[in-house]
Amino acid sequence: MEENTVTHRLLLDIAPNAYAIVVVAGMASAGLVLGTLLDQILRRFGIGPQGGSR
Amino acid sequence: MYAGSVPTLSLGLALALVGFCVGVAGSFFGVGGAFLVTPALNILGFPMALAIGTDLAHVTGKSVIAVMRHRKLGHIDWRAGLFLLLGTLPGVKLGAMAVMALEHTSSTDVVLRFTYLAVLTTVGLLMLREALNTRGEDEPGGSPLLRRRLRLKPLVHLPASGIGGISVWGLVLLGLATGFLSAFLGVGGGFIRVPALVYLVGMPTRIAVGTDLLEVAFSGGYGAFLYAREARVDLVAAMVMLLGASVGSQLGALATVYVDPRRIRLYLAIMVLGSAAAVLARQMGLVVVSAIVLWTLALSLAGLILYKLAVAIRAEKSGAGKPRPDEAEVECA
Repeated sequence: MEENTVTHRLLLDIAPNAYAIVVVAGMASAGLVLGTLLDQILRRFGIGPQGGSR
Repeated sequence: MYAGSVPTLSLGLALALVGFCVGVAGSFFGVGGAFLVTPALNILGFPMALAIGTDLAHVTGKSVIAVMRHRKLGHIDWRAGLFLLLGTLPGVKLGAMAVMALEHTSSTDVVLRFTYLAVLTTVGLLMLREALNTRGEDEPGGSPLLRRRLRLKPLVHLPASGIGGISVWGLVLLGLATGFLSAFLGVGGGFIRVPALVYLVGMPTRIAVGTDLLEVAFSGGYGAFLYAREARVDLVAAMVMLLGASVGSQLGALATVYVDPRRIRLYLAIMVLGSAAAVLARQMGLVVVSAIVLWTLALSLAGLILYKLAVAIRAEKSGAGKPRPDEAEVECA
């Protein structure tokens, strides 16, 4: 795949499942970090309800 | 525009903007937003399978953010989410297998686009009719089909949604069907699952939105895994979209608190129908018209949602706004 870098291609060739797990875990972790960060910002500015779950 | 490897500045900005708009809309409607993202990426030059895989990867991260926010708002029915998930994951696997099988033929793009079109148009028209016929802030009336017709045991109670008893099999089958479509069409399944949860299960609209995002996070993650394994994910593009989506998701989820459920369903119907029009235009070779319809739609709805959120927050801060429908629930929690 020309759209992938050499590293990606190597990882894909050697262990495609591991590569795919890293992709998914990386995206989920990035979401977790960004979500927590933005939550803190909204809390700091008092925007929207900040209550806990039911 | 897309030429593989590292995106240009203009492509990067376009991706971040797509992410932001879809983050607002997706978190507000409880959808992954792929019916906007996949055609948008396709128009930007991504091959269809790569567009689907890249979108699913960005949806995984975005849904985590949206679920965190909806959990705080008490908009998630965890029990219903678990049973739906039992069907969703096998459904996603079947859908991805169908796409990979079709990819070996020359008609993949045409088949996907026409399936897209049929599903979007049908769901959009049905929702629009219901939302226009419902008065006030009410949820849809009548007895939900799944609870009326399917009484196969075991039955499960969903107190978070105020539902007394519903067949576990009904929830699992619903998850299976929407999971298949999510992987086959490259969508989170939300634009089908949210209406299904509201109309077939009888779940309140806000709870349906939050619960569906939980499904989207898992089905998106599983779909991304399957596409990444086949080298159909552009990681840089997915991360750039996630940056925009992270801000949009927070704001979209907050807006569900301030907009009445009927309007949420009405806006979703408009969004789905507009997206169908864009896909149809592209199929007819009107690529520019398709892009204009798509971008106008995404920007308008995101703008409308943000406007309503800003007005409500300003009114709330000045003490002049009407009480939020779920204010008491949040405070109790």
